[in-house]
Amino acid sequence: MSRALPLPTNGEMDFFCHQHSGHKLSSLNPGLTDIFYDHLYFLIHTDHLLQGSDAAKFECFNCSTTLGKIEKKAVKIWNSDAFIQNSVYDPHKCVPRYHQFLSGLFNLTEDVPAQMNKFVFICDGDRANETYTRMWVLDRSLMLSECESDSREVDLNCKIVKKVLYSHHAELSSEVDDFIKSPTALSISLSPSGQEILLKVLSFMSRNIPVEFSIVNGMKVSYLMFDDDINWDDL
Amino acid sequence: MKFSVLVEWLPKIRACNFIIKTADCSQDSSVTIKTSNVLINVPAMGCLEFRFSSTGVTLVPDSLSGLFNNNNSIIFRARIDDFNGSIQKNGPTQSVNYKINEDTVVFCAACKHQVSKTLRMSRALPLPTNGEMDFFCHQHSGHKLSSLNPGLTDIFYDHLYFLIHTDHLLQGSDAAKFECFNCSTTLGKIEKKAVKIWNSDAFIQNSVYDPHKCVPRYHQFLSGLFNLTEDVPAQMNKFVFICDGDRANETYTRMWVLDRSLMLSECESDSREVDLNCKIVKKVLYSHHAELSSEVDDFIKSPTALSISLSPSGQEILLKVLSFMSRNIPVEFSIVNGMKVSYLMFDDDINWDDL
Repeated sequence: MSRALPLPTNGEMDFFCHQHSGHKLSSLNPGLTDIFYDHLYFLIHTDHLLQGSDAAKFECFNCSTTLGKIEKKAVKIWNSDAFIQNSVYDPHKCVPRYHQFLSGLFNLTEDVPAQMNKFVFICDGDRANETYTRMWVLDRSLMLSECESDSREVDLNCKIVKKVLYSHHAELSSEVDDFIKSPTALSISLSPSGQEILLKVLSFMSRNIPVEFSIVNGMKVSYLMFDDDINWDDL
Repeated sequence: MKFSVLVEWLPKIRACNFIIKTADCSQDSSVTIKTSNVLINVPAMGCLEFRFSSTGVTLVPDSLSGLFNNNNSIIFRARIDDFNGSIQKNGPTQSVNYKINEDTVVFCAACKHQVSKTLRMSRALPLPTNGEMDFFCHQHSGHKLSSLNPGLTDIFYDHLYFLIHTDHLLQGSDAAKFECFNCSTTLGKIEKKAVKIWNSDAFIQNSVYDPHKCVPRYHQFLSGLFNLTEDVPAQMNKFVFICDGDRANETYTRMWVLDRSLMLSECESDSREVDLNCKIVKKVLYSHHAELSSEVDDFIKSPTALSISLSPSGQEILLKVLSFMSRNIPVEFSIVNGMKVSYLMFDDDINWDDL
């Protein structure tokens, strides 16, 4: 590749202070030597695929995992489902899927303007099978100490996390629709595996909140954390 | 015996929430808050000790509140006394340092005349953020906190004002306004036994006025305003500043913070070569309203808006600064959503008094 360029933030956030209806950016198509990237995916030209495809999905021809989507001459590949490395695969250099997805997600929520604190993650299946995860960031930089122990004496350290409310919806309910229409919400596409990681992590991070305090505004309380020390693959 | 502990450290409001989950809890459990550790006595488990010296936080001993205790969890809040280390950058930005146990006096910022007796405070405490922001993620209707009244040796402070007991005023007053008896500038408001004094109109100093130690009014007000917009939760990005006159004469300034940490380079020059430096500012939209219009009402009712009282001089400084900071925006791009584009900046190098 001769050019590696960041894509504009989801929606029109790079141009306006909040979402506007009636505006639609035309898609950006990478050339043969371009790689365009976002926090959660990257785009390359379809000519780089090992096997040509007329389908809308980009699948691994070995294990049939869906790795992305094809739109005209661009293929959108999820960071949670594929990775880029030197030509010879080296497992020691491979970044774990959880790590890649979570760091992208954490950075995405960090980079959007302060007023954009609601997110609707739309799992990128067929339109009829779309599922939705609402996430509302209450605190972008909460200092949190967390520990599970069977010792009587505990030394607490603290980390920066984002305190969030979240809920998962199997269909486009009125709550999801309200979120999508909110001027302070961002709608973001996720792959099925990205959604799986997101829900697993949010569920994991809410495990220590007592049930009496775990639901606010019909959404579950949790924390979004990105931490190199946590082995998310063990979840 | 296995348990989990979650602690939310909230340095901005000087509090922390402890959440302990275990199957062995009982309602007879007790909690003891100490400076650098918390002890929880659970009958079935014995005494658990949580230490947090590595966080740099110290707690106010015995500051337990909001204890919730059932068979599988113990939840409580404690007060943070001090903090440093990694937690410090998430702490509140203190606009003014009030010295305790030292003789100080309140001066009128306009005429520099002494307007209080000598104060010797034993407690200087931050007030909760405007409204109920310390307790909820956004504003709720139907909740009203009762006011906090300072004792004779207390000074309670916010970013834009401080409260002291009315007994400290040089002249007793039955009026609702607190005015300088020398130049008649309105310095604050009197409510029962508390006087609320604006940082933009008065300042506290050692007993003898020293002009070299005096913080300029613009500086004091702007640093308070900057810190206020910094400290509120991310979702609170709309502000309605209500100029605190009589109800019939109230005026309103709407401010919408679009970007809390924009890097801005600004320069006016007549040289052909310009070296640009950049500073962190807040990009805002603002509009001023002489009455309670529907736009103002919409802002006030927004769950992500804070309504904040300002003194007439505070409002004057705010409008002057926002107008000044918008001067280099071309007129074609200066209005968005019916509001003017500007930047809120706090910079020691700018002599705002020259505006």
